[in-house]
Amino acid sequence: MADSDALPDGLDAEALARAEAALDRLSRDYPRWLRADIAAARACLTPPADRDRLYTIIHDIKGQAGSFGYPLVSRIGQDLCRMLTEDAPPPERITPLLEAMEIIIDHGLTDDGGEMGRELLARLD
Amino acid sequence: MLRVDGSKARVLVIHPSAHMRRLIVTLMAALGIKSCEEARSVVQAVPLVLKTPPDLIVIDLGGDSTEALLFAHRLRRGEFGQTDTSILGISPSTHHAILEVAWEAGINDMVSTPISAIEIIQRAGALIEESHRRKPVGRPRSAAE
Repeated sequence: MADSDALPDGLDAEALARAEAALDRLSRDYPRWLRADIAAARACLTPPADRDRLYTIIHDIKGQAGSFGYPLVSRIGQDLCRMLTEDAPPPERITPLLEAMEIIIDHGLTDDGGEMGRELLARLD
Repeated sequence: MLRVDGSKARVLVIHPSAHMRRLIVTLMAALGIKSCEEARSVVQAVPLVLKTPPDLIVIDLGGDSTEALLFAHRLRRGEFGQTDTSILGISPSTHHAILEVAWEAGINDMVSTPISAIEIIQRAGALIEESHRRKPVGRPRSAAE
């Protein structure tokens, strides 16, 4: 919650408190939405693969996960987007990154994910 | 404190991601805004702008921002809607080159992703307040105005 003493001039502290509470509620729902997105991404790998749809889903995940408190998911999404843009990777290269996203939400690795988050990224790198 | 009468303000959110639209609409509701429309793309947005001129347009500039920039440019040129409608861009980068292109296209202000509640409340609130200073609150503007 924002410290009202530290608020920039002109900011409505009550509106901010409502916004932060709303953001917190949506962030609690986000893992469920993300699981559905990952399932949709996996479905794109089933022959005949739909690379365009896969890219759109991953690009959306990359853009939104950080706002819901999961920057590690955004980071992995960025790697996946780059991979999909630069070449046509086989599903064996894509699946581990989708699994890593699932591990992040399974373990609630918000923000930098702590030691587990760092280890996960190191393994992927 | 921002003096925004959110109950009479109209906001249009243009974003391809349903989750992000939901997030932004929810944050606008926290600002007291009751009338918030959504569009997945600028193609969907144009008829909405024509039907009910918004006080603020919140638009995604992530990925290929060409369509969003063209939308802002065309709005400012008076090809549709109200030329002075406030536009808040959302972008993963606030690199000065991107900001310059956005401003040249007619985008008033930018917030970066990940979205923070404080940033979007402050900037959206300020733009709505500015919009209300330009016209009486809640009075629909005709296309000829």
